[in-house]
Amino acid sequence: MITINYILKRAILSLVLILGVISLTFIAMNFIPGDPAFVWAGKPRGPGAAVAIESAREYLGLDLPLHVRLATYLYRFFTGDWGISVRFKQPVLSIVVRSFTASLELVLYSFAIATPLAIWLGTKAAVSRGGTVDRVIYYVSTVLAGSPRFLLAGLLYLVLYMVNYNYLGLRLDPAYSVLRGPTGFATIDTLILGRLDAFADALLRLIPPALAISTYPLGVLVRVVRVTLSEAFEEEYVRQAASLGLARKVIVRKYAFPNILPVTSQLSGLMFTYMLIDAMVVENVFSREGLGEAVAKAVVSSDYPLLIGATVFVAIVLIVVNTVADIVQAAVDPRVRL
Amino acid sequence: MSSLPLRSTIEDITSLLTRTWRKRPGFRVSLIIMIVLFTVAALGPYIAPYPRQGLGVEIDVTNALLPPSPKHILGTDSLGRDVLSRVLFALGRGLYQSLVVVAVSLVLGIVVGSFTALAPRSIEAVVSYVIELLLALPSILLAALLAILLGGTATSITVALIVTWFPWYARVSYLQARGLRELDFVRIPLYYGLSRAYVVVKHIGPNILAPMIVEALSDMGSVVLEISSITFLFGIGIGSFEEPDLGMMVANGLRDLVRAPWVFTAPAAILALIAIVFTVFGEAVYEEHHPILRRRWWLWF
Repeated sequence: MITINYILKRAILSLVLILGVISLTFIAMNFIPGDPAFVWAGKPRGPGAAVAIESAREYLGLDLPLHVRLATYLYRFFTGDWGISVRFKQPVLSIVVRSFTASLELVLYSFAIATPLAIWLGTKAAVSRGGTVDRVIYYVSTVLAGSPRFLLAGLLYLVLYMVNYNYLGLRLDPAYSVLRGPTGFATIDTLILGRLDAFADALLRLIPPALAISTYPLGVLVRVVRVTLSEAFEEEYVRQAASLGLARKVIVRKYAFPNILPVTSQLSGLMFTYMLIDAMVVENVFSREGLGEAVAKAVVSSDYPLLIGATVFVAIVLIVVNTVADIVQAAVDPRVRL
Repeated sequence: MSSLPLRSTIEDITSLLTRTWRKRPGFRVSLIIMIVLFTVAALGPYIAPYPRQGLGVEIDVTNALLPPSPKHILGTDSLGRDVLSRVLFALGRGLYQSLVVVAVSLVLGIVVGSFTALAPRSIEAVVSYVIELLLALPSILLAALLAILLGGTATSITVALIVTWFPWYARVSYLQARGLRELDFVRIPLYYGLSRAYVVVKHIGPNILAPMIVEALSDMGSVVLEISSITFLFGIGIGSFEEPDLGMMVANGLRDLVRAPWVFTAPAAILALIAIVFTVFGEAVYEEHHPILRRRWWLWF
């Protein structure tokens, strides 16, 4: 049973955490060595530098008392004014949202690819536990989860390049660049606009990087499913079911499978974090637009406002994802309580 | 005085390692490869054929992107530097960096976690909150922020990773210490009026040290992967670089992926080898340490 009380507790806790993250970035900004205005303006050099630093000083309100600055910071944060990116000369929030959506699309697709495959392979391994099939699946999944994503992505890119695969790089063919939909997901926007040709293009460009990223959740989930099922096979109710003469298929599906869900939902928060990092890396291999590309550019041009915005945004997303994962886990597993 | 529990921890760990060595072929292979890797990393600067190119102080544009040949066993990169020499120089730095991250995070985590478990309730709540807060921070973005603030990339990556890894160990050791705090050997000394710090150092520390070391050993692979992902992203942005670093070399090789795949593949494959070997090693130790996982299952129906 899941109670409203539990959900409320988790929601308040995550809200407090989000406030903490925002305050942390405020501290990082105001107590850094050197001049905050200089850093906020992107460490400018040359003729326009003095002007840029002066406007940054004004924006940050460095001559105001600290509590006023914190209040202004929080107010701006919740009204969506996250500053102007030094590198892109655009509002930070819109850049972060846009590039995050691009990365999120990759993560979601790789999750969709990995989950069914992992359940199938994990079950196969658990059923033949100790045998050759099990060992092969186990070692392959270890290697897949353990190797750096850019190696797999780079090799995939090379192979596809050799076979003249025409859909490498970018999220959508430049010819379709007029297609802008409400969601920011290339595959969904094109569908909403009813352009099947553009949808196919977006999907074909999405699948190779998604495949490369999906190796991580695949490797992790296969092992989780394998261990969880093996444990479940030892349980009393599975023995009981077997003693009643039920088919092995029925036992696995009906009695052992429900055990996977809580563990998976518990892990999904953690996996999401790493998949986001992987997406940021793989995007660069396939030169797609996304969070990784934005961050790589921001580092070079000392784009402090953009990085602060991206850090806060991703931290909030991770907090929300973890909270939802916990609530789902509590909903499916009655033993978990705060 | 404190040498006794420390010695028993070392004995625990060595007996665990020898047990794993006896039982698991995967562990044996990975340990041997690890020793080879560390030896090569230590000798790297001395056996590199072109040490000045390996360090990045010398470039030779006329020899750019040469394919592998007897002269350059792994070819040359876009600035004409010998890839093998650069890999040899980068290997030691990468391994050292990941060891530092794991060791410092482990020590910090154990100290914070075990002291929190015995601290007054208010401090306990605050520290748990801070740990949750730090766990939520994305390591890559934190590293990028620190790189701008502190300048140096290697230090800022190390600091960022420690900041994001140590709360994890702190949480695990806090949970373990909390499990111990109701037990007699912790409560009785407290009733006698011994200080909390003494009890933590004398009774809680020794009991959580061994499991925490096992935890850290099994995390080495992930740390290597995370470091390489971050340096890779930095390398994408930074055009030219002098410091030999595997992740940055991979990023640099990406630009000539199709024309000169060896520049990309050589450092990436080395990174993969390190990460996989660490993962197999850690997993074997972890499974051997946890008796539930150690049992071998045979499907009986």
